[in-house]
Amino acid sequence: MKRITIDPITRLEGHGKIEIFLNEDGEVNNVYFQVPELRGFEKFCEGRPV
Amino acid sequence: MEGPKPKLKLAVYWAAACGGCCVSVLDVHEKLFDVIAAADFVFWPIALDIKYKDVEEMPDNHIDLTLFNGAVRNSENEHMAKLLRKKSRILVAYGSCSHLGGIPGLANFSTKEDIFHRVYKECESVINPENIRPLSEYEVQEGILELPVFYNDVRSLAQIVEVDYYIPGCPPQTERLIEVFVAIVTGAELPPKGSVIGAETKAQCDECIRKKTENKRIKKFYRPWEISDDGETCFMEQGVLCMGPATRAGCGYRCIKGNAPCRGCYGPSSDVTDPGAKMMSAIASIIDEKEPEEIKRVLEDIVDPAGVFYRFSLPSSLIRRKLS
Repeated sequence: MKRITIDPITRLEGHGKIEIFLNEDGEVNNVYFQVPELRGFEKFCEGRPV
Repeated sequence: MEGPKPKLKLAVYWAAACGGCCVSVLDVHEKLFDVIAAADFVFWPIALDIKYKDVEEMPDNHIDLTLFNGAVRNSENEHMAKLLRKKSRILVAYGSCSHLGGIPGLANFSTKEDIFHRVYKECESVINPENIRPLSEYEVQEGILELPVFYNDVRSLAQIVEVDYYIPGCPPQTERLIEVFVAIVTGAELPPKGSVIGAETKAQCDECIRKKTENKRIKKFYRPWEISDDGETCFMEQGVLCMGPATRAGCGYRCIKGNAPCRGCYGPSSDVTDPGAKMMSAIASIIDEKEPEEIKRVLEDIVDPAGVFYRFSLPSSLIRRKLS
């Protein structure tokens, strides 16, 4: 099985990585989109004055 | 016959960033034509399709100047910091996050577990009964997928690698970036390694455009929306907390001109070791109360003092983080 890694995805705002797996016929078998960046605004903004 | 002068090679990278620093580079507007006449961008994910593996393959010191923005939050950020250090002649910590830890550095008031619990379990928009969390390695039917390791601590760039210069700001002022770029292109003598460039050494208050009076007598602190600002008097003298006393000048008073108090994004001025300590000293000097109970009441008006004093600088401050 052939694996194509697109790392990083570009020309957009943010971080991302795509893994594409091809079968023996060269057709796409599966694709995974991954977000490698987390900062945790959901947590660290709590209780802060705006 | 002499050939054309080789063009400089530039890179811009974001680690734990918001994209604002990259936009501040784009804000050179039509001067971008002058930049690309003198230099080629060899890596800049927001604008160009150049991959990490292309950077890995570059010879050491291949890039003349890298503007590294964003804090170091995970193992990918750390790897890219080390990689770009190796590949760059001049490495600049560009913007508050890279310079001091910045807004993402406020996460040092919590732990990795606190953040994962909030984001992946407790968050109002999340349904996750199986308590699925990100893993650095995950097996799928085709093989292993990898994600960066999320660290417990956020760090600034200088806490990972040697940094040549710091350009502060959230984001830095584009005009100051142009000055720095022109200095490098023209081969002007650069300041000593480790300097903060594109900013002043003094504090915001030293040349603030707002009027200072002798009224340094505060009996109550206000949130900006609680008073009617007169538009010209020092915020602190009106009882509105302003980070000016502890913050480096050089931003052009952008917030002050917009009638908002300084938020401290340029980091501590050259004579300030710790912005929290400096702010406590500044606040102590203007409170007009004598009794401990009264002083306590005045201080209680200040919402989240640690988060305000270290809004952009927690990872590189003396306290660095909250202990568990």
